[in-house]
Amino acid sequence: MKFQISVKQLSKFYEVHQKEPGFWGSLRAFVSRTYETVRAVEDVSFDIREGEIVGFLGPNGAGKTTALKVLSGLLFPTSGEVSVCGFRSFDRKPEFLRQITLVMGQKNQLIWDLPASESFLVNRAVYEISHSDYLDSMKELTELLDLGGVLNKQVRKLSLGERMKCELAAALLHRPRVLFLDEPTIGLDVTMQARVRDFLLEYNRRHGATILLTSHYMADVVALCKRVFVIDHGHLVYDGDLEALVERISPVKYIRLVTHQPIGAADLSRFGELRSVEAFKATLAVPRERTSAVAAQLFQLLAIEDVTIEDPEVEEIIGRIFTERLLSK
Amino acid sequence: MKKFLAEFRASWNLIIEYRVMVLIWMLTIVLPLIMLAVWLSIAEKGAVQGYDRSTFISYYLAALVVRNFTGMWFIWEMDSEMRLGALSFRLLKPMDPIVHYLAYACSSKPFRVLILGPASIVALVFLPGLTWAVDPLNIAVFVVSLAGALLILFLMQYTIGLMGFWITRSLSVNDAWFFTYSLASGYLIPLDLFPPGIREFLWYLPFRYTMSFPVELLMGRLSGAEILQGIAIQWVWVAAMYGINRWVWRRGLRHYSAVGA
Repeated sequence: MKFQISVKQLSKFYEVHQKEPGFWGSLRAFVSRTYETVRAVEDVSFDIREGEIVGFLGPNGAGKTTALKVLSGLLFPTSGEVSVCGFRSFDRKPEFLRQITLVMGQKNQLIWDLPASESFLVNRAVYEISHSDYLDSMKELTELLDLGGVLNKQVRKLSLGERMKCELAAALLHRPRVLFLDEPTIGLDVTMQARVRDFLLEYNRRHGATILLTSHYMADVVALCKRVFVIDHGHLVYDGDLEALVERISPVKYIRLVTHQPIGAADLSRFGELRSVEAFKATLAVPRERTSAVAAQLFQLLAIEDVTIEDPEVEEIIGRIFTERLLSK
Repeated sequence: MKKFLAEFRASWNLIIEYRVMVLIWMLTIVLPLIMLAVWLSIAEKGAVQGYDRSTFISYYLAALVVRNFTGMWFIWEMDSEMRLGALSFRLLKPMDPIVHYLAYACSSKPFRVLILGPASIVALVFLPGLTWAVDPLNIAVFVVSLAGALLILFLMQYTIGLMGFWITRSLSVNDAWFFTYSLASGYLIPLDLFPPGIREFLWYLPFRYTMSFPVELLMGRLSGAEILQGIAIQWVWVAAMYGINRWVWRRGLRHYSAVGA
């Protein structure tokens, strides 16, 4: 099987000069600068198949954006190899650029003072999209993103959600096979986030496009990505199934009880860690493999009205990975 | 070319969007008029090195026209795009950003032709002392020299803009450049009025070919041989500037990609 994205032992270091605050700091920095090496990405390897959607997880400054920039060809690696669609990204050959796209949620590529449709026309020429392909693309994007009525308004007059939809459309007009998305849903409200997610899934389904995205919203990752990369301090500390990650990090499940009789904390704590208890409700954290046995015992012990067994929120798990540095080497 | 036209179209739409602004910009090119007023008061006492009232009028109005057709201000846009990271998007498109900036720099020119063309005809008819050589052949050569002037200026400015890869404020370099340009191109003072040694020296720098040369052409002050020589030197400078620009561009990209896009 050929991989569409292949990264081998990628490292990207920066030299950043240090400046102490204040006038004397400036003067000293002017005379002799001290440099510090920032290891944004270090010894990262992975392969991605065509059509996969992979989520990049990591706290701010972990190296996610740097990795995306190297993959898309904006930065050249300090060492290691990067191949995307069979090209070395950094060569930025036109045939390569026509197959990829980069969307950054916090930056904007549309012409600010003109309607988005003007930017589309420029992109059409720049990517040499034929007239019929352009009409096809426009029809599809207008339908999927519900762009009617938005295209002819000046970009600066659009709401953030409308603008993001136009940004996506402009970035996908040439039907790229590989999408690099850096926080594509940042700042959007919950409904709009869901729309963008649905759109990305549909685009992936229709065109078999490969998507690599970063997001701070776990809902994005849960909805879109079966596979995740966890990156921390520039190191890839996890590459695999999102579900497997959840199991590995959190060996417990939650049993939520609703009872007919008042609950005594003492009765329950021998079954597992008691997370919350009220008069007729309780939540117990129980080791995964014992959940069904515990549930059965609880039925015998208490007059139970309802029981649910749940995985912890992914959000909570990811939070723990980084605060407790569970995966760090 | 198709890409250039698409970029040009978009920038032209911006100009239409802000036509009043462009008109105001055109009116702010008053430096030649101020210089004209100064020289006219000096010339009242008699001609200065062969320049009389009529010559000064013809010179500075021609300078006004040339400045309008060759002046460009895209470096401010370039500066903000480089600092805010919008350049990254341009680098990820299958088109060299130079096409965008050239289209952007040229986009207001048709608008200026529309306004200055008729205005020049009116001035030629009604303004005593204004003498330009407006036979078709001379106008054709003048247009070629304007194109050369525009390209030299564009490439100079674009190269200065590219310094933004290394320094945060390429605009301050641009200020220094404008000072040099104003003096060495004949924009402020006709090169004929410089001392002989300096004048000859300036003939070989690119600046003359961005202002003084087209102006002298329009005034009909050059012989056939001088015109041919001027056009030749001008386009050699276009080629040289392009070479320098591409060299800086490649170095800059390498730097940009190394330290953070």
